[in-house]
Amino acid sequence: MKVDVNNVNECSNSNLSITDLTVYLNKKKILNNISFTLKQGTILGIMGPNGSGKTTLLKAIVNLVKSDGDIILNGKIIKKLSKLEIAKNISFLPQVTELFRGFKSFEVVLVARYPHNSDYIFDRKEDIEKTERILEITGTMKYRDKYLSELSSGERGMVLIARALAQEGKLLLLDEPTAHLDVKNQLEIMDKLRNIVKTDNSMAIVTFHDITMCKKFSDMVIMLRDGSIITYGKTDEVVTEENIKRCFDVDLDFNIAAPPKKILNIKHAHIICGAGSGKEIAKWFKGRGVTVTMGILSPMDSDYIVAKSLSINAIVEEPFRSISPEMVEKHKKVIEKSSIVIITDFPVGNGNIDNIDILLHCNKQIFIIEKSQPESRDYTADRRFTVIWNEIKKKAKVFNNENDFYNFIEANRFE
Amino acid sequence: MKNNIKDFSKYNTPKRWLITVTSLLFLLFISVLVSVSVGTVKIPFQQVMIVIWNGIAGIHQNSLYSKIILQLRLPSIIMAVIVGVALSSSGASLQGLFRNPLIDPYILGISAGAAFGAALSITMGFDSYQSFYYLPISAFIGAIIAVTMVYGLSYSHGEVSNSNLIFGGIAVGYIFSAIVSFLMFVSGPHLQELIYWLLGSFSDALWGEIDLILMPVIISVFILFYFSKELNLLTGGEDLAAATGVNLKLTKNMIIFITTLLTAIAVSMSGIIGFVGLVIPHIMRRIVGNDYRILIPTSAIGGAILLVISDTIARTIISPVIVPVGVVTSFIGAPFFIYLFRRSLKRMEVSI
Repeated sequence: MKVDVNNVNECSNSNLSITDLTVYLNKKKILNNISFTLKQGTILGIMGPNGSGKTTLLKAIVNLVKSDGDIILNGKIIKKLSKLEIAKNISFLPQVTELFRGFKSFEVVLVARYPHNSDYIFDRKEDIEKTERILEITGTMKYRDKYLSELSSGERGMVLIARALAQEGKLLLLDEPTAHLDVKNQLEIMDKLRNIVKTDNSMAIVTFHDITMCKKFSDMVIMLRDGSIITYGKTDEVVTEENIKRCFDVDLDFNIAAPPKKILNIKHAHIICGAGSGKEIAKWFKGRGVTVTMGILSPMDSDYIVAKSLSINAIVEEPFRSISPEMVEKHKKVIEKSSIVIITDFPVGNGNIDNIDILLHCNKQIFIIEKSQPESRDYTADRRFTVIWNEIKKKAKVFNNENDFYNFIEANRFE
Repeated sequence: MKNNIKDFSKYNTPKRWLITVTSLLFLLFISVLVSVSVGTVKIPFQQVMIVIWNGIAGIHQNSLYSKIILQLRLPSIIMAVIVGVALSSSGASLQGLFRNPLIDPYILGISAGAAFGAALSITMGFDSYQSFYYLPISAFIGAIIAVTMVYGLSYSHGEVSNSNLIFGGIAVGYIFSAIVSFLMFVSGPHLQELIYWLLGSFSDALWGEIDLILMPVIISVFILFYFSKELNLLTGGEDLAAATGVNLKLTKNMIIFITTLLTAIAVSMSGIIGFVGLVIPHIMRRIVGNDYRILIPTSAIGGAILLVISDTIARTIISPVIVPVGVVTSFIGAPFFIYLFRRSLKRMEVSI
């Protein structure tokens, strides 16, 4: 897990250089000797499973958590700067922010001028002008008089990015800015962000949950696992199936060292899933001698990566595309052949609603594993998904977690 | 009408700030004048102006009016102003710090601690017949002890989290309330005096007390105002505020320290007056918006106005009996608050 030395040398005229960054939290090592460099005008994507240290890395760079190692931005040693000076140089957008209750979008962006005008009680003319300019650039001017709670999550995300820009840091740190957004909004936000980074010639470090997004929008990529860099380099060279497997800990040896498993009398289980919600169930069935197929997935979904590594047949659609009619037909045929259908709770938008739609006229035994309310992951127009979901629920058996579901399957016989 | 209010609550300019603060100060001045003139003895406005003017100029006066105004009414009215300023500005700042609309200045156990100090002083017999200062001083010490305990309980791993403070405040509050209840149970002849103190009143205010607390209160409110930009940033959460350059530790400790000082002063001078610190900031949010740069000064003045009006009603409603001011405050403040609340629901405004 050593950093590739050649890569570091390649970007020697960089503007951010981080050497041997190590973080301990409560005596536990969270980050382990992280070193990398970043040039102006580039976006660095950080990928890694939950708990791999993505957020801690961002917080360490902006000195919100204590760290060992050096962080040098445009020749300045970050740790020697005051909080205000750091805020002038680095804009950090945490993943979780509160709603700025009672503040309109304009004010939300305006208060980010704090590092520049903290000596004044009132906002200077230049602060107001700067804020207006940034609202124009980010296309958020139309929400200037709206409260954040009145905006959709995509609009809100853009206002918060505008806020980070108003702070005028040459380095932007964004912690999963696309989480909880549907594909269209994700693409829109990342597109704008990329344009801004390129025109301002600034730098951005962005953490991603979604491999596809990371691959599409980053110039450079770091893959983190357990606080160490698995791989680091240009996106095209680094984001390979091999590396993704190493990073996301796709467990290939499910047959070895596992407790003896009961062989089920189910012939064929079809799983409709996405966003990594179905891989555990797929492994479970596969390990018990059941033929498994998986519903329409994106090729970069970690569900698909697992499916491939277990040689499970999965129907795949091109990334960033709505499901096509041909695929829906194919999907229908697979479902016809299966003995049972399992649906997990994954986010549903207009692009993948057909995955769910198809079950309305399905006469197979349907199982739902539902850990969150459908409303919270419904990105369809008119909340269509929630309506359909509740319809399907009427004829399905619903479980709140995988274990209850496994117990039920083991205790019953199916054709 | 609707548009006016929208424009009015737009971001702060020095001009708007000045207009808003001056008009509220003018309202406060009017309410003080009215309050001085009404009572068991009615005094004409003109006389009120003359007596106050001569008082400020230091001219010796010996008329009946001047005695009523300068020795009886004015001290309690000025005390009402100071206490109103202290409680409302503390309430607004703490609501901002905790980002919780249900916070009042007593959240950190101040009221229970002060009640404990007062109850101890009254039941031990150190009551107002011996010295006017025993009770306020022991109430002040009780309040400070309570907050110190809460802060100590909440301290872990080098920081003090908001939820810990609230839990600590509740726990310590219950302990002191239990002791106060016990003292009330055993206090016998002192019971009425204690209950009267607990309900809050300005009628015992003295010029000496005012001299003592005036400067600390003014300076404290200015310090809270100084932190208003930090409070604005905190509405987006602590992480984001810290990332924007706010010194979280300093902001938090300063606001807790200053509001404790203000609230302890208020409670020790006038007893436990509820409602003002909780609701005046809310009323002001609906009138001037949520920007703490304007919310803190307007809340301070608004709190003063409410307490002056309440004190006037308390003195006059069943004159010559003086009703505890805390009772009146809730009686006139709550309906006004309900009205504003319902109106904002109708207009689909975002409430805090």
